[in-house]
Amino acid sequence: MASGIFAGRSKTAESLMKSLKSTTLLLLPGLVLFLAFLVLPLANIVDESLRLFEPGRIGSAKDAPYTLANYAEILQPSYLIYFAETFKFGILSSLIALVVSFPIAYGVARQNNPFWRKLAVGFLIGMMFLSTLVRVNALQLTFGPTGYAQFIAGLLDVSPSGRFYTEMVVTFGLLHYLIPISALTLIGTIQNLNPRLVEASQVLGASRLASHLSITLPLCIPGLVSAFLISFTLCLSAFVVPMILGKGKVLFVSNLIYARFSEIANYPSGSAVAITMLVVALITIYALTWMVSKWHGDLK
Amino acid sequence: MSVLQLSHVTKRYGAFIAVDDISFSVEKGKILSLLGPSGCGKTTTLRMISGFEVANEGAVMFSGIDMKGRRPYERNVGLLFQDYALFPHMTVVENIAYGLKHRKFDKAKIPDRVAEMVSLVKLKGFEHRRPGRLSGGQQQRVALARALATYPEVVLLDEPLSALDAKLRQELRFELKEILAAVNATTIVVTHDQEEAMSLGDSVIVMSGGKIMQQGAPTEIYADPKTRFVAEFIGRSNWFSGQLAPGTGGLAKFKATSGINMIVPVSGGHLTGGQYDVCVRPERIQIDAATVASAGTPVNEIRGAIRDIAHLGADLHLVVEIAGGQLLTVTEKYTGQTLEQTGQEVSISFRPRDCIVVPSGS
Repeated sequence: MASGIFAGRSKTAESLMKSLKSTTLLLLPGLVLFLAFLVLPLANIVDESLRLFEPGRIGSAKDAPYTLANYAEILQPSYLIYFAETFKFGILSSLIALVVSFPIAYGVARQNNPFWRKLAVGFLIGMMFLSTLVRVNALQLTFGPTGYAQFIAGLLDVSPSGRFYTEMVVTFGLLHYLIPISALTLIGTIQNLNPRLVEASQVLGASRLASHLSITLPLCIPGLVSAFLISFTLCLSAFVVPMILGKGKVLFVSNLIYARFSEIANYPSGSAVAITMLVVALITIYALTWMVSKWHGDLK
Repeated sequence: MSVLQLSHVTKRYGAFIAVDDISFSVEKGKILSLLGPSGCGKTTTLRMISGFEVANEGAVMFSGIDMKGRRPYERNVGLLFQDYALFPHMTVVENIAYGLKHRKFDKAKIPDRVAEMVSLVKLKGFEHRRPGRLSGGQQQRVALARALATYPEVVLLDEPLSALDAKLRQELRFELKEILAAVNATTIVVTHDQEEAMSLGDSVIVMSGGKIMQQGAPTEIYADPKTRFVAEFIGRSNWFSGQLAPGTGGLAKFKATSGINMIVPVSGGHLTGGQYDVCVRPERIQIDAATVASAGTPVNEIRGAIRDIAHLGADLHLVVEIAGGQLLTVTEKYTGQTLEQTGQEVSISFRPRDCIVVPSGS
């Protein structure tokens, strides 16, 4: 009897080893690719960002000395303004996207007719397949001098060539892909919400609004934060939208990085900006996630 | 006056009639069970009382006031959901206080009322836990406290015990009854489980296909079902179909299609001759005729052979094959007697008053 149990146990250990081996084996190609084409190039950028740049060269010299000058440069107001601009648009657009997409997601998630639900989800996914260039140019035409939407400038009493109007069009450009992606993220969250909870709150005397504010919204916070983070990350890396719709008035960090690399060939400076952006974005995302998981952690 | 009254309530979904012209009322402090298989309309009835569904016809009245047009939050109903639907982001206390807050109770009195409910459902020490860190039984008590906190006019329990395991169920059934009695709650229990319905309810309504099949005290429903559906739905039963001869003196002869003759009761003479079904409950059948014959009353006796014996602890379940290959279920208490053997020839017997006669095909 005892030996039987022992045999059984060693067998499980053996099969565990086997599955561990096959897990490693299956992970290997991915790991190699990840190392070769993601980690190493990134390390290369980090290295580049620490090299001294001599004006006139393309990139740093092979044996250029290490320096922190490229990072120190970023602290100048002329650089910081790019970061401020990027974060301002990122936060604002992501928040607007949440506000707009939550009702859409709620409507789709609580739609009883499977035909309409599938149609809506299909439409949202379809929106994401649209090329950025197409949507940006479509918005450019719509809001441009010949576009039908230019009356908005008149309505708001601003100049169509002014800064406010341009900022608004850039925001629309960002929202064009943030809304479908936020809505799709939120549909899952809302579908996972037990509809009995809202019924329970209404039976307990909460009006529909009170029930929404005290039950639905708080329980959707993790989903709202994920949607916000996805939107925010997409905004941080936005490049075409500010480049085309921003008309040189609105420029994001991506545009700065592009200019450093491609226009003046100062690779070390571009690298430093890129790494700084990466670190700042990661800190923001981790801080937000940590806060929410701390608040929401022991619900389940 | 009845605290809750439904009169001629009908609910249709397109061509489908979910609830078909039902009427009933519940007095203050009484528990009524709505019992039926899934799709019988009991949940729709519950949702109409709570205000989530609106009746196409008829009226739902609380203490004589028509609830027409009132939304769930405009009625004072306490609803215990089958899955409890506790708010996962709130503690026990916050869950219980939720209704008090939204029903605009005097803010200063809320903590006292919550404390009162916590001690009523015996959850002292768990006040600041969230539902995710409570056991199933504790969650149910929180849900009950939350439902009762606002002094609801009507308390609705949706399958209150079905999510619990068998042992806990028995414990909580007793507690549930005590708590409901303590607050003198007028209660409707909706369930598909006859044990739950009969043990909790002062009276039971059996529903099928949106209609009320029978209403009565639990004992009455079990002992005197008016239709085959009710007899089959509540408890286990053995059936004989056949011809009833006109009877005298409260008894009549019944000839089953399998050829078995028996004597059955006919009360009040409303059972004239014709096609009838006779039901005999498994626990009313005796194995070994000698014990019953001594009572000196007429006895139905059938010969058969034991096909199977299942020993379930306190009870024995026997399957007996009689003439025509019909299988009867018989239950006996196990009191240490020598068990019969499979294949053994036996004589089974039951008294005429152990037979329930219902119209054929009802």
